[in-house]
Order: sequence, then C-alpha cells, then structure tokens
Amino acid sequence: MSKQSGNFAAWPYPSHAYVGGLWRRSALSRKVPTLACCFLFLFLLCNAPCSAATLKAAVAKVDITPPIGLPMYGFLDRIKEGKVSTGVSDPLYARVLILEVSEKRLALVTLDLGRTFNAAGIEWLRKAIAASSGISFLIVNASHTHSGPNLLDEYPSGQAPAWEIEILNKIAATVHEASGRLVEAHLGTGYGSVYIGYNRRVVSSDGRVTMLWSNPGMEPTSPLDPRVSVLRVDDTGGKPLAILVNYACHPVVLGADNTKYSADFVAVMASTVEAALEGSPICFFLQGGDGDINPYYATTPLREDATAKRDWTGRRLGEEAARIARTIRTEASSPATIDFTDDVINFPLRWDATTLRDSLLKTFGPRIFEDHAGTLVHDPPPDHLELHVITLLLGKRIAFVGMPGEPFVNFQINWRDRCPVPDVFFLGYTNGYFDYLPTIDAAAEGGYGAADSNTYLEVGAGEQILRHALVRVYEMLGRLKDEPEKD
Amino acid sequence: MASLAMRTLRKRQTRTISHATNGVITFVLLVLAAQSAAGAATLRGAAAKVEITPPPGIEMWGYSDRKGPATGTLDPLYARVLVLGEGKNVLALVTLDLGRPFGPASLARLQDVTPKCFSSLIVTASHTHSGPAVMDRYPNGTPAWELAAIDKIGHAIQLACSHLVDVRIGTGYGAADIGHNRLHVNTDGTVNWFERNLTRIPTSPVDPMVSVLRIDQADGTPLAILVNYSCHPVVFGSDNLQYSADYPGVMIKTVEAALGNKLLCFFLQGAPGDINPYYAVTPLQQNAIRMRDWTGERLGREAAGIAKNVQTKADPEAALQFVEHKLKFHSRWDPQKWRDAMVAVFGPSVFQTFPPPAEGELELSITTVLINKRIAIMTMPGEAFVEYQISWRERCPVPDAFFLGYANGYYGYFPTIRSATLGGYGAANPATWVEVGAGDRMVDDAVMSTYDMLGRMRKTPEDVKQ
Repeated sequence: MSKQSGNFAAWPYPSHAYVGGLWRRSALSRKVPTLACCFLFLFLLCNAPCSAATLKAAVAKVDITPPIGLPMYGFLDRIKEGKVSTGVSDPLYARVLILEVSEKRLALVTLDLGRTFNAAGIEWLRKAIAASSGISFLIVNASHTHSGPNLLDEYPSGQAPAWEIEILNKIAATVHEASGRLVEAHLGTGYGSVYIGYNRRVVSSDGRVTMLWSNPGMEPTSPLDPRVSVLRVDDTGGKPLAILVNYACHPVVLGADNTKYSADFVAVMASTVEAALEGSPICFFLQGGDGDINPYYATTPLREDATAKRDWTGRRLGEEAARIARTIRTEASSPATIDFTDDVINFPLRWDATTLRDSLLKTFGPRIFEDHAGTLVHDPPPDHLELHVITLLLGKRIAFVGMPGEPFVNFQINWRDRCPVPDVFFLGYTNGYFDYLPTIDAAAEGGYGAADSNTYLEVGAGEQILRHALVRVYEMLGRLKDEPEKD
Repeated sequence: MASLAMRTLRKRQTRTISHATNGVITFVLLVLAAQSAAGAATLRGAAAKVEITPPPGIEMWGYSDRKGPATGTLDPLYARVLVLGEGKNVLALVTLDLGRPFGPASLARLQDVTPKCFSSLIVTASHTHSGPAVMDRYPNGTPAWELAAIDKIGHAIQLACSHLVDVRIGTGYGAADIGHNRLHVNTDGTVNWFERNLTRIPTSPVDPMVSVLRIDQADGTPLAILVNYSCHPVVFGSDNLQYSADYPGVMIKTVEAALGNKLLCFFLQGAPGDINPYYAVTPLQQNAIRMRDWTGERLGREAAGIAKNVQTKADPEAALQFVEHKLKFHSRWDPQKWRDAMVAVFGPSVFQTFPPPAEGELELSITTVLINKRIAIMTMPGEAFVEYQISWRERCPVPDAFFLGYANGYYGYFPTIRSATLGGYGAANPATWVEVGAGDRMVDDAVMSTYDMLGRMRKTPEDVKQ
C-alpha cells in the first residue's frame, strides 16, 4: 500500500531503465553490473521460500495519475477535437498482487487505464521486476476506463512520453516493495451476479446490427454475462489482503465531454468493496470480455449528472462483489502451485493491410493512429501481428486466460463452459492491446468492433486463443500426455 | 444456361458398359438423366456409380490382427459419383466403399483424367473395414486395382458431367438408433473401450440424426438420395476376409428399393470417430451377415422414410459455391515416439498397410460447399469425433448442415480437446497424430467459409471509405 516516488534514478534495482520504446542500460547498471548481480543473488537467497508447498502473497497499490494536459483515451471525437485532460475526478491506480509458490513468483498488475502499455513497455516491466524482485510471470490487465490518458503502440517521437515512463518505474518499484513482504496466504472463490450493463449490439431478426450506445431504460439484451467472479486472498489469520473482482463491462459511464481523469465505475466498485470488508484489503478489478458490453448509463453527459450514474454503476457492482467476498471461506491452496504460460501466437490481418491503412487515413485523417490501429502505422503495414496469450492455473483449480484486446462476451461465457477446473476467470486487455476480438458469428453480423476498422485481426482469432488456453490448462493439469498411449 | 434451356426432352438413360479389368472386375456405369427446364439460375446434376471391387489377394483395411489378405467378395464395392453444377461451378462428389479416400497421388490422377470437368472435387470414403488397404504412399507403387478404380471413376465423372440435367433439391431429417459411443468414460475419468453393445445400453455423446439430401429431376423423379450418418462400418470384424461395404451397402439397397430402384443412394459418412454399431466386430460364426443387414436395413428404412417425405423444389436463385482451404497443423507427437507407439499398438507390420505420414507441418484440406445459400457441407480429412458433427450443425449459419468425414485425405482421428485429455482409442493413442484442437479449428474454418459464401463476411471495414 505504499506510494512510490516516480524517479527510476532513485530506485536502483532494475538493471535497465525504460526510456520509451527502446532499451537502454541505466547509468547505474553500466557502472556497477556486478553489484546488481550480487544484490539480486542476495535478494533471492534471502527471499527463498521455506516451504515448497506454501502460497505467499503481498499486495500494493500506487497512484499513477499522469499530469493534466494529455490527450485522453477512448473517444475518437475527443482526440480529433484535440481535447486534453483538464483535471482529476478520481486518481488512477495500479494495483499489484504478488503470488509466490516455491521458486515461482507471479505479479498481477491491474491498471486504471484504457489499455495496457505497448509491447516494449510490458517487456521492460517484465525484465525489470524479474531482475529486481525475482518475478517469473507478469500479468498486466487494464480496466479500459475511457477517462485515462491515451496510450499508443508507437509514439510519433519513437519514445514513450515521460509520464508513461514514470508510471512504469512506479509500478516496478511497487512490485519490488511488495515482494519484500510476502506472507503466507489462503485463497477462496465465490460467484454472484449483477446487472449493470447490456449488449450494445442489437441484432434484429433480419440479421442487421444496430448499435445501442446507451440503455438507461435497462432493456434486456443478449448475450450478456451478469456473473461476478471473486477471488479472495487472505492471510493465514483470515484477514483479507486482496479481493479480485472479475466482470465484463466497458467503463464508459463518463463520455467524451469529460476531460478529467477517472477510473469510471471501477473506482467506485473498488472503494465500495474495500469499505465493506474489514482488514483494509485492496480490491482489484479484472476486466473481462466486455467487447460488446456497455453500462446502462454509457456516455452520460456531464450535465445529466454522469458522476451519479458512474457511482450507481460502481456501487451496484461493488455491493454484489462485497457480498460475495464476505461469504468466501479461504483455505490453504492444496496443492500450492502456480502454472503459467505466456505464448506468442501470430495472426494475419483481417483486412488488406495497405488498403486498410489508406482507408483509415482517408476516413479519419492522420490522427486515427493516435486512437487505435497504431500497429498499422508502418508503410507498408505488417502482414501479421504477434499476440501474447497468458494462461494461469492456481492450485490446479483456478484458471485464468488473458486476451490482448477487447473480447466479445461470448468468449468469457465459452471459456467458463469449457474450462476443466471449477474456478474460471477471464481477462481482456491483458499483456498487449489489439483492439476488438469479435466471435466469428459477430464478425459476420457486423457492427462496431465486429466488422469495422476497430477489429483487424483475422476472424476466428478469439476462438483460436481460447482453444490455445484450454489446451494449456489441460497440459498444466497433466491431462495431455506428450506421447501416445500404448495399450 | 441457354443451351440447357434448349435441350429437348430425353428419356432417362441407363447405360451399361462392361469391360474387363485384369479379367476380373466388372465395370458398370449407370447414368441417370432427365429433361432440362428453362430458368435463370439452374442447378444441374447427374449421378453415376462404378464398381471398384479389387481382385482377391489384396491386404485389407482396418484391423491389425487380420490373418491374411482378401479371399473374395461378399458384396461388391462401388464408387458413386454425383456431379452438381450451376453455371461454371461444378462439384464432383465421389463416395467410396473403402476404408479411406485415396492418397494425394491418386487424387491428382483423378483430376488429370477428368480435365476441366469440375471445379471442386470431394472424394469421401464410407470407412468400411472390409475393403482393400489404401495408403498415401505405397512401398511398391500404386496397386493396379487402385489405378483402375481411379480411371473408372474418372470416366464416370466425365460421363456424368456430360449428362447434367436440371435438378431440384430438398432436405429432410430423422433419427436412427444403430450405434453407440465406444469410449466409455468412467466416473474417475478413465476410459474403457466399449466395442460391442449388444444390449444397446444408452451412451453419450451419440448423434442419431439421419440427414437426407434428395435430388430430383425436374419432373420430381428422384435422381439421388444422399444419406448422412455417423457410425463406423465395422459390423464385420477381422475374421472376415471378403470385401464388403458393410452396413452402408445394405442401407443403400434398402433406400433404392424403397424408392423404386430408379435412383442412386449415396452414403455420406459423418463423424463416427467414437461411434460403433451395436453389433460391432461380430464374428462370422455368430451370423455377422445378419447383424450387418439389421444395421443397414434399420438405417435404410429411416432414410427411405425421410426421403419419401422430402419435397424438392427448384430454386430460382440456384447457387453452388465451394471453398477449399489448406490448413496447417503441427504433429501432436514426437515422430519417434509416435512410430514406437504405432508398433506397440498395431504390431510390427503396421507400416506395411499404414505408412507414417510426412513429418513436420501437416497440411489438411477442408472443403465447404454451399448449395442454394441454405445447404452447407463441410469435410474433414479423417475420423472426426461425433461432437464435431453436432457442433457444426449447431453453429452452421444455414438451416441444412451436412458433415463428411474421411474426405479428400486421411489424417487419422480428430478427437475433441476434452476427449484428447480423457484418452482412449483415437483420442490419445497413435491413431491420432494431428495437434489437439485441429477439429475445432476446422469447424471454425467451415463456419467462416459459409459466412463468406453467404456474403456476410465483409472484405473491407464497414466504417472506412474506399
């Protein structure tokens, strides 16, 4: 729960400092690489686990609110009009959960941001915390708030801006700080449901898609996943350390007229949960498959009391999550195991890349690349994209899949249906960002995120990612052998 | 189309052409044709069959414990040819009373002997275990019987292509209960091999659906009945050394007889990777022939009943489309481990009748056909587990969905991901060697291809100016 200073020069542990898009060795590491290695060795030695079968955990959060005056994420109109942030409605945080079993140490970082950092940023963070804190596995999940700063895959200057570098350094420092105070932990899961949103793609009987951009009348829509999935992490005394809330809904109660930083309904949800449980836990929001799910009160104009609608949405989700969390009985993970894979899968582009690039420029102007499709900015554009797919299995019974984009909700439902363990979590916006991942059916139906320029991976990519993760879980369970049966 | 419209009424033609091949094989070609009708877009069709029974003395397909090569013929093996055309799009569908379709060289030869005759070819096998062994590559070259069969089939396709007539089509569905799921999953997750089910104990998953595609001449006279069902043709076991189409042969006779013997019935094997007939591998001494007949007649009676009720109609917007994709997959196993397991499971002589596939990346051919924008057919080049057939039907965006296994290649079993983890024959033994999840991806591909042919997959984003 410490708030770290943002100066990477004052924090000596990473052997590399992130300077935006490029890897450069820090002055300190150039001068004293041996010292860093010795420290790392001593650090790992001091933190070596006493028991091979014990789960340990630590949590922290750090304010990552950037300075005002930056372009904001998510609404193209706001970007095209050149609007920048003018203040802070509520601060943006990165939350860190460290889990450790034996020599394996996982860092889960959730961000009150529209998307995760670009590939270079994530790679820097991964290497930095591996070196400083012995982190073996990294998961970075963004809430997808549309009231945060804009993050890009590639910046015109070729380097990430200073504020993003500062955030990365803060997170690295927070991970390091938390890694030093791991305690034995118990896990538990619970489930409930809440209705705070709807499917914004309305498919009529003739197959046409109409976008329903807000639904204050709360008309029923489908598909929708009202499931609230909660993972509770306690210390051995039953004191909650972390409450992880997995739900699928776009954090877009605040619309394009808002120019103040906010985590949208997510912050209200987190504070509701944290206030409802004794022991000062940190509540994490794990955004799910919300590619087609909006909150009822989406893009409420400020003059129509958008703040109250944001609070209503967050409280409603938070009250259900808190109710679930209170009923969870945590226990020692048996077996205490962490299985993790981070696989790169190559996908071709859905559209002719050059045509798409030229069409985007023609339709939206050069600023389109500041909103999305940054990976297509090259001339000629790439013919395929590399996606990181993460699969995590805790204690051989709690499974996570992470998709690097905005998956449609049916993927979340399908994952839960097919995953062979009792507890299943689904993360969008994880370890990368490649815009929308519609189902095959949705891609054929059309509509926003399904058949427009906001989706550019080959159709079927989401299904393939899900299959990949499913196979990985079976492998982690030891149920897929590497040689044929001989009987 | 104009030339079709100008055709004069012709009587149905039945030609019988006989000649000798190796002095043994009889070659019978039946061509059914009818009048052409005027119309804008017209579906045309013709059907033929040709006997392809090899001579005795050939090693047989399907069982590793057979005592010797074929000694004779119980019932002849046929190739049946259906040619469908609309405009320049012509599909040649060949069904074989064989254990698997021909290998790449023979399929290429078939293309060569039928130049410019069709634009898409599907060669699918019934998977009878009482046919000759078919291989991708033969140690001593392609056997004479297979070369002769290819030439006969080629001639049959050409003849059918030159006798296309206006047709109308319809579909119908029913259910038949002739088989069971042979992989019994116990409560502890272990799997038992449940080969025979004489008391017909219910099992799951099973797909009892009988799907029928009826093709009539313009006057309503039936031309072809296509019966799609999933069940291993293994009523005969390894003690049978005589060629037979197994129960599909009986099913076909039953349907043809019920509809007046003036048509051709085709059996389209579905996804029987885990489905056996109740009376599987019945020893000859326990009246296997009777069990084969019971199985075939039961399916045939249901198929005939469905076919009789199908109301065919000419579609003024007739359309025939197809997409063939080559999908690349990894091998599931390390090649040496796979070979060792093959020998351990099937014996040291396994590679005499079952050569190992090429190492490295595997390239599988998947064809998706769409008829009149409402009847979709997908193919898989191997033994798909039955859940893929069910999944395809549920996900296919048109009302009529047919599933063809053993088509345009043979790459062993395609278990579902879950089945692959449970284990058992075809699920985790050496009879499956393509990466886990391959079947899922093929169904995805067919669904996408169908959407594509329906014109529902945009080529450019909705929101960008061209």
